[in-house]
Amino acid sequence: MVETTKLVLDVLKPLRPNILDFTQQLNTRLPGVEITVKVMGVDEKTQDITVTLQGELHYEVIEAELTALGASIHSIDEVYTRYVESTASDPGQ
Amino acid sequence: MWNLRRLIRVSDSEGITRRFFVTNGFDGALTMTGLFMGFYLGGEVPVTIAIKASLGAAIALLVSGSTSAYISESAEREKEIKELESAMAEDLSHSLHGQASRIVPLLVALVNGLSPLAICLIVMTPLWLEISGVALPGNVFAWCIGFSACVIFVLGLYLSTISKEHWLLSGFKALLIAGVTVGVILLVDSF
Repeated sequence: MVETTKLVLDVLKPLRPNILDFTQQLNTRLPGVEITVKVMGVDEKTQDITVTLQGELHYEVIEAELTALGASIHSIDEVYTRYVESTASDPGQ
Repeated sequence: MWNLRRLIRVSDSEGITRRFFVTNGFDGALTMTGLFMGFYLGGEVPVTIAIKASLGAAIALLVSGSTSAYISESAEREKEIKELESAMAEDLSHSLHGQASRIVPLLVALVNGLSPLAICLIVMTPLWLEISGVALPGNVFAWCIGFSACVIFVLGLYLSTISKEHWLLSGFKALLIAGVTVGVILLVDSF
């Protein structure tokens, strides 16, 4: 089984909430994930940010939570994965 | 359910809610001052009639305040969300911003409607006392006018916490407006 351990996303978000609130709200919704947000550009109403997530990641969940905060993923810039040996109790066996 | 504080913050509506509270609260207090002045100058107006008339005015202020704020705020939020959607090239109706654009106008309408109603009910205290058998010395409507003046002064004090102006100056500025209102009513009555 392949696990995603780190993702770097190019994200567009509205100016509000600011990145402190945004990151805290995102982290509340993604417990156990380490999140780093860096502002890459600021427009009149939007901000272009790079979101780095580390931990046990599920892309669909991350995308849904970002959308709920009004942000949208422009591109997936980096992906780090890890192969984990499946155990006998795994449903895939 | 989104946290209300977050919705207020994301829509930047803390200031407008506060402004509406003071503006319409002031509206309520001044309207009641005018009404009480009318009763005072009118002579022997029964307290029950005064209560009914005052409640009528209070309810009208509640309805007018909440509906006008809802209509104007919804239009404003609709415009803002459309502009944001256009900048994001995304549908934001299910996002925090979409929620805020639907819920914040309701909150603002509630504040705008309830603040004059609450203030009207407070300044009617002498009438409530009179009808429940607590006799106040002198004219009950004079007491009501005095109560309204106190509430207006307190609203002025509250404004000073926002503007950082001296509290006494801010309170007296608000009181001056009530004084001018009373003066104009007396002037009109003298003709």
